[in-house]
Amino acid sequence: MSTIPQDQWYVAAYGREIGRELFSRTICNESILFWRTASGQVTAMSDRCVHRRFPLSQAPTRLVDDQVVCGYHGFTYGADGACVAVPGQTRVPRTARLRSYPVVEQDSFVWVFIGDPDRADATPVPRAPWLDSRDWTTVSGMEPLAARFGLLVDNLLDLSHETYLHGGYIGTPEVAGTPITTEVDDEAGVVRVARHMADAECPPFYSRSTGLTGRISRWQDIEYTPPCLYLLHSRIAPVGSVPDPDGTDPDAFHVEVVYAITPETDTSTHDFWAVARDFARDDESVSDFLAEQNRTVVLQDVEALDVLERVIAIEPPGYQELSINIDTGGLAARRMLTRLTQPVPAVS
Amino acid sequence: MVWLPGSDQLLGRCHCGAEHVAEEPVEVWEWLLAHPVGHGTADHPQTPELVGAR
Repeated sequence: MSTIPQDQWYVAAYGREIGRELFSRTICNESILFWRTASGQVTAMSDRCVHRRFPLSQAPTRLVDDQVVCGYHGFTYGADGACVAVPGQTRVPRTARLRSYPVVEQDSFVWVFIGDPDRADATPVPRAPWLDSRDWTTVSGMEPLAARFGLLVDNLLDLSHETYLHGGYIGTPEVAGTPITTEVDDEAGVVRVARHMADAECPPFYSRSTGLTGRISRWQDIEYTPPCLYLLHSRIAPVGSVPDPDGTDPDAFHVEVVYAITPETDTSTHDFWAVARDFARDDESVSDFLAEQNRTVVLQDVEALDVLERVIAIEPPGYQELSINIDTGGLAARRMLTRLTQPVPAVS
Repeated sequence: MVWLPGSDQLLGRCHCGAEHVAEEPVEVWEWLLAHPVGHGTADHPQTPELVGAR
């Protein structure tokens, strides 16, 4: 059985990736065709012609106005996926319709609903408002991961690995050495993991971007909304600095690190990452530095998790993992993911 | 669930207010998920053992 939760919103792309060219991406084992109508709306439909399953993202399939013309035999589809013309006859079979997907473009992401479309409206799309806010500057990217999405969830819920896997970038001894607090909010469907380091070494990722030298107060507050959206609220400040009682925090630097964890297949994942900041907002050298650094960090994870996937693929059944205190958040996330894969009653 | 400062122990706090201390997270999650089983007054947290005291 697949471990990919159904009836959920997943990030399929950045809005900037979808234009007037046909664009295909596999999301949760489903090959989906995306394009933008002349009025700017993103559409999502099956990337397989109903006739002989030719991939519609494949040339010479083309977009003519707001219709997709299959490059194999000319089956033509509208923006809602309905077939409007077939070759050599006037009658279009009633069943000639591509599966279409609910889509929401929000916070720079294109979200697609995987599962029963009738459940989409009642399922909230998680928010990451910093990514297209005028008050923040964001760098972002996506790296393909040849590993199941659960391994990336494990990775991101336990940041103690920063000390070992990302030393010299974002890892310092204090990350692995500082206890965490974990909270499960079943009602909101969120796992929160907090690690507040009062007096920590400043890693290059933050010293070069903020200009802070010496030791820092470093707060990491994770909010994971299974299955797809992961937020890391990162606060960097001089040692001893805390937010003012009114909630303002003028002495601190804030970074919102966002991941969208989207299964491509049961054993591969789209690893979307974004870093938004509220300082040095017009400094392109800081943008370039953070983009290069974060991509490097993501690729360090990718390399490790790709290896781990290959190990898991060939191991005999029954391997017993050992979990310790650092895994508290990851275990909570696994439980929520398991629950999301349980069947739910059909919509009446 | 709070990793108690100065110790290797975890304090689980249920939405009902009951608390439970254990040495590893699987036990604490199982206790939390078992609510209300084992969430009586007998489950007051123990005093955390300091790592340095070992």
